[in-house]
Amino acid sequence: MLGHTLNDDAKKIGGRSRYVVDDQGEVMEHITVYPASQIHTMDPGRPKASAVAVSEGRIVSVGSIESMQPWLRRYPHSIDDRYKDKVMMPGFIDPHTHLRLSGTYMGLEYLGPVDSAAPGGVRKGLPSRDAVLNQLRALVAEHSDPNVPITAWGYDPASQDGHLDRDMLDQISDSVPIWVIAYAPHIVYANTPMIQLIGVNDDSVGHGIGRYPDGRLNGWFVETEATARAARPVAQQVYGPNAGRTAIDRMGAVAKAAGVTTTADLVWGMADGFEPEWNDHASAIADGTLPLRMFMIPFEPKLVREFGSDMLQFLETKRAEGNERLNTHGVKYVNDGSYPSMTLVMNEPGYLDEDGAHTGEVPWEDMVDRMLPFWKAGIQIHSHANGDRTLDMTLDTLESLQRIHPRFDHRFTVEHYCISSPAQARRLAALGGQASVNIYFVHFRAQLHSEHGFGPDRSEATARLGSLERARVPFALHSDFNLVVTPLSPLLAAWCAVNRIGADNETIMAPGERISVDSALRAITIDAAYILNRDDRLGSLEVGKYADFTILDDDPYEVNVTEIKDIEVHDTVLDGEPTN
Amino acid sequence: MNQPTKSTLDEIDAAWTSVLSTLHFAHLPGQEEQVLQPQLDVTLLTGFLGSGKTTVLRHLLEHPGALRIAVIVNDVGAVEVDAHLIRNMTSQQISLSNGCVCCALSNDLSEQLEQLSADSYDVVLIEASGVADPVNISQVIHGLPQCRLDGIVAVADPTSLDAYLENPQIASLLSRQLQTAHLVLLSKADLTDEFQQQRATDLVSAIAPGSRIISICQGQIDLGVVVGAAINGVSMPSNEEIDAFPFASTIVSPAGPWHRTDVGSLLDKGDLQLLRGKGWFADTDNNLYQLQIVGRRWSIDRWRNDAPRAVVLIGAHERDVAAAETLFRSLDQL
Repeated sequence: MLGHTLNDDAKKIGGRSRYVVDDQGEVMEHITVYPASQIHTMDPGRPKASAVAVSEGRIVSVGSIESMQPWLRRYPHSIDDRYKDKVMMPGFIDPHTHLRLSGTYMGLEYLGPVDSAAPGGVRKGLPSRDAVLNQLRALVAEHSDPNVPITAWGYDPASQDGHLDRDMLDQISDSVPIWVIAYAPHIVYANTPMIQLIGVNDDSVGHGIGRYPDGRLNGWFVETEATARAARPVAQQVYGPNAGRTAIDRMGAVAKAAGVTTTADLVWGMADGFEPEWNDHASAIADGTLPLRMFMIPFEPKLVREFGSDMLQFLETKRAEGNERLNTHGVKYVNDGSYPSMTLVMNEPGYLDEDGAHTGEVPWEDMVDRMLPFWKAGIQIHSHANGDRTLDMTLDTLESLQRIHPRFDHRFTVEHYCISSPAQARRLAALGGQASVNIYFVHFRAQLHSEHGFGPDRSEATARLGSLERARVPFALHSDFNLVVTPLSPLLAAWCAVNRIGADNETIMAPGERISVDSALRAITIDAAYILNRDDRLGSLEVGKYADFTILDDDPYEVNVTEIKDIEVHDTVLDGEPTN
Repeated sequence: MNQPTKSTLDEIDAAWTSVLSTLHFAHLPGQEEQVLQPQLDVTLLTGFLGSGKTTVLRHLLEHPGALRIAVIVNDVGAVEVDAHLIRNMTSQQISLSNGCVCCALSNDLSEQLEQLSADSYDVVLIEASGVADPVNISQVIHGLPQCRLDGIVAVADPTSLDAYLENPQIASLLSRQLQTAHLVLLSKADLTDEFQQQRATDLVSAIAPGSRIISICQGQIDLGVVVGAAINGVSMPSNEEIDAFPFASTIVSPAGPWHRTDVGSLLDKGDLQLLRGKGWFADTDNNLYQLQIVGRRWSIDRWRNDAPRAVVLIGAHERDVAAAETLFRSLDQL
């Protein structure tokens, strides 16, 4: 790094040579300048720029090539103008994902009849069986490993011209196994190599194993028992020993394509344990397949079960082991169910009909005691609350923590914040808390829940960003990409926050909860960094910060607000290096 | 642009969840090529809100025959079991003097089923939530080696079926429930006339072709029809307290060996109009197999222990049972 930085170890400050010479006698320190057609720094003091200078992964200067001459005159430098026609922003931050968990599922291609949300964006519906077969043909053409099945879901025989069958799929490929599970998942279709993988033959006997009139297997596996059997080889692929690493690589690519440079895994340790999950991320970063900064946020019940009274020591050890790309951060609690599954806990008047609300693993009455060790140790608490009843409990808990051991700048974060009231936003502000909000539901789910589960009022006011802003609560937008069918795309999240257009593409959902383009873009950059307590290093383009950028084809401040989601992400830059 | 409507979004989400649960549970060490050991028979009871599931469960708990039945429900308080039968009651569990138990669905269903298996109940009945797609729970059961999914039984209310199917929000869920079921019980026969019952039967048949449909009154249904394990050995079920809707049944004893693929193709053809079937047969190598039929679902599994070579067939009408008997007899000629 050039010159002094605030964050260098104190002993190095002032005692450091400005030029470092490596073994070959070359000067290592070198400045790369990236000009762009427009740069939004997200530093309100210096909001726009036309070039950013980078050295050793950090930003040296932001401004114009002319303004940064004092640096360029003193140090060797080059101009990299690959982004000269593009728009540059700080690297997008999605502060709540489950890449490793969700990635295991993402090998499934979508073949359904209607548009569907997917992690990379919205997938177009396919109108006919021919379109589906063409899509499968295209997948076979680009499929690299003939031993790995092509897996797809969403086929609808009712609206896509009838069932698929073995002979039809063999026409697509008789060497690559093809596995398709229907939209109403009571049937799996398989071609000959897939039938062999499933391990049935013409002599097999079992309900739901379909046959042609001549007795030959027709590649159908109907109803739960047969679909479970047909799913076994695919599940073994999905959940095999390398599944975690494969998932990280796959989802890392999805996140990168959406412009994300930093994310956080919010249930570190829950699925396969702390070390295996950490090691999968570490190896992906070492191999260069995960172009992201990762915050690993441990799942508290697992931490308590596994380490008991040594849990804080474990986190300290991991913090020392971690680095600027992969490190532990905070602690996570899950205290109710999810929004789409209607398992969140709501205040009166409750659900329209029967519900499956549940409260999570840690008993609510124990919450203060469970959070206190982390609160006292200064470890940031991320507490999942989807329903307003759960939010009340969370606020009560935060208030108790403040009474027992008052703290400033604790950044206690309510995760998801789906159903809430303006009063709760003001109370959260008074207690010094903040929110990381799943905004995607406003578009993808809220109208549905007007008649199904939550009723019109609470559905319309899902994810009250306007109330948070009026109460001056810091907030970020996240995808939580996991088991719900919402995409992972910060620009789509910003679009939802600015427009709040329902699934019918007409209705504006609670217009007073919309926020400005600037607020929405802050919520996927600098304010998301604040939520992760790393706004000193991340989230804006300022001297000394990590050189993480997202490169866009269009300017989100200039396009029509309804088109923010359609802006193409051109590239990302991580630690000063383009990731494409 | 092809815009998804509200109900298709709902369906996409439900479909996706089911796909995930299918995959999730398929990777667990479930039943491979089955050689059956005595194990826990699990029956899943589905049906929309207010269809009458709880009434059926209450009837079965109060009339368990020789079985120890465990019932898992969403809300224990809603199952108003005859007070004379209650031995012990908490908010989570009701223990009955006849050896049965009714308990609340826990967060971890697989753990709960393991416990019930260890406590050696013969049969578990699970009441799926009225707003749930039963596929997900059925996949949990398929994934547990100590359990066997005996059947999925749906309860439908003929007085509200029409209206529900016109509501797009409810129709897709209700259809999924009916399509997944192997037997459909039309409840509230005492509150409907013949016309309404026929209309409901037609609606169910249109949504779930080939369904076996039974009309019931005040939850009264023979245990042997709902739960295969209640057909003890090859004796025919009898439940004197039910006289409103009697069933027909017969026993077929194989004259010689049957080949399992022949039995399989007979069942695959779908001509049988049976509600239930259970029994054993041997092939030419004297391997013993257990046959179970629940509506249109059937299974043939290797059987380790000894068992009588005979099959019980239960149908709604004498003519169905007679037709099935003829088909099974034809196996003797193969």
